Amino acid sequence: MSLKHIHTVFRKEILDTVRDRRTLLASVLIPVMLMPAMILGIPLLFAGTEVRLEEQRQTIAIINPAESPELLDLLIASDSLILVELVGGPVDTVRNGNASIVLELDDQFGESLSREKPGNLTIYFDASSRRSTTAYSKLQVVLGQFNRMIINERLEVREIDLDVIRPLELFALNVATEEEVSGLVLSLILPPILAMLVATGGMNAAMDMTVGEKERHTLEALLVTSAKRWDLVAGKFLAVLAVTLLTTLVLILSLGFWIQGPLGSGFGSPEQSLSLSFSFQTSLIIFGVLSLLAVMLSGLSMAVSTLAKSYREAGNYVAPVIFLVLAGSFAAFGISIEDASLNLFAIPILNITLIVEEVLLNTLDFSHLLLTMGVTAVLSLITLYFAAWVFKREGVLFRT
Amino acid sequence: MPNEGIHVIEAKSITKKFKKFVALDSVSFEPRTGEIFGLLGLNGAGKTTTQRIVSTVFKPTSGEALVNGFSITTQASQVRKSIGFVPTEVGLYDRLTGREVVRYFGRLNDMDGRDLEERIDAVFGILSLGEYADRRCGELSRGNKQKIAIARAIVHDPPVFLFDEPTSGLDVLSARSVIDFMKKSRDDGKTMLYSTHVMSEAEEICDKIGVIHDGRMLYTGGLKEFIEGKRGLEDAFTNALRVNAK
Repeated sequence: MSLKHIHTVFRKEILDTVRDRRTLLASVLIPVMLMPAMILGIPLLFAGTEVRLEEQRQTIAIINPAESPELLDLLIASDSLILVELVGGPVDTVRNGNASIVLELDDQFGESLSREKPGNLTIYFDASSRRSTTAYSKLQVVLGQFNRMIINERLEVREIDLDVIRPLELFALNVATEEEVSGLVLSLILPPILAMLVATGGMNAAMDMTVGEKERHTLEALLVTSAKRWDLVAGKFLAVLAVTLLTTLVLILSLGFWIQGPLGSGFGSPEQSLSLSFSFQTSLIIFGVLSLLAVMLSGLSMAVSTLAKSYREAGNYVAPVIFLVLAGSFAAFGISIEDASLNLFAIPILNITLIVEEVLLNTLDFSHLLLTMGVTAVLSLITLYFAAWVFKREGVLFRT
Repeated sequence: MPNEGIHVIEAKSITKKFKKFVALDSVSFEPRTGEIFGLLGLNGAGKTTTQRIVSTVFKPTSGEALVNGFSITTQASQVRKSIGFVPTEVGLYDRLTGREVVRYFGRLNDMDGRDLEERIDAVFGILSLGEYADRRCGELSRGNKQKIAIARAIVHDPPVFLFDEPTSGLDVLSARSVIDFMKKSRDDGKTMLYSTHVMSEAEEICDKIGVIHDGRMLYTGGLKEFIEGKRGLEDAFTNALRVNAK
């Protein structure tokens, strides 16, 4: 092994990458631009839609309104629903959008209530329509009021105190700090997105430095220099790693910028507005953890790209790698971090995702971290040796 | 230096198989120091495979070759220090300048510092590349790219040049400058293994030739002897193929 050769290859690849707009775009600009959109923009968009729907008044049609003038008065007084006429049957009225929801009072509804029997109600709503489901929620609130109203009347007639049927008075006190709640929100959103962006960050560079040499017909000349194949692979690997780490760093900085700045406040619903926070210490630890992933994926993406004979083919090879990263990181959604056993930290990619979650929740367990580091280091070495082995296979290097 | 012997390249019964396909079948040839040895053949005859084996890119299935006295199978690293290889396809890094490309290969061939920079200037001077040295390769003409490819191959001043169809795709003037460079290099004592199917060029510059066809060497020896009694190299070459077909 020659450090001079490795350094030479590394310097050349970095220079070449810096001048490659395509790689720079994928590694730096896209993460910066995508970060607010993917991490904060989409939830904010959802929250905004939710708020709009809550503020809007949805339409409701009633069948047999005369059965309960009191309920009708409540609905008219409600500032969340608007009464409209029924057009045809209740199902068609909802499906055609003539009303967001239809409430049908039973023919004996009024009589049942007066006899202190349950009054039958049927609600027609469209579970695939957010407008209809919002109207459904609002109607439940009005019906809840109506229900309490009737109970109060009946208890008053019997001179029974209302507290008799209300044995519990619940007071919930949140002991979590705002930072901890912020950590929970971020731990749900961030890990898979970070893993995916780290995975894709160095892919272009890996392809350019391997299959790119084949497509440019520069590989043959490179192989007849005094540099050993291992030196070439090591230099290229370090360059891919540097690009991936740069992507990771840009990601973290971008994340810190957007969370601490323009998009960090007013997150969540208007009632439970939350300010997200992302401390320097957290950033540093997450960068360290993601660097492990970067090392492993740099070797892997180089190895699979070298197998290909063209960029197009390399794209087909790296797609399953990205899928694996996605599968591994999204698997974390099904795991409660408090109950995560040590064994789970032996599963590549999933372990990194879980560690990021632990860091964000401020519950990092060092045995988990050590196992994750060990597994990732072993896999990184394997992928690197695989890349070096592929680079020595003349049948792979000169496939036509 | 172990190359003080007469034959700076000695290829002995080289066979190369790709699975069941026999690309080279017991090929032997021995250019002497300071000679241009032309490897002549049709497309797919085995010229590039021969070049790749001598340059250590491929390993032979059987047989052996010595380059500058070093074995291609057991002393590949020393062989690579002794050769300057120009493959058929001119592959350069479009985003680097010619000087950066040549500097990169110089460093990978263990050169550095002032020696390397002086050598780069000298090579660019020989190839008349001065004004193009600091332009990015992607902006260069095919001819100048080929010159950069040659500069890249010879920057470490190796005794043996392996040129695989170096004038392929070049215009007349660019091809002429490559041929002139090869002649000058021979005058400087360099040995060249030169693959081509351009008979006029081979007839002009080769001292010895090897006629290769379907992976087998049909003839190795002096150019003059080969074309004796024929109307030139092209006539002798086609005649050799015809005789072989019978």
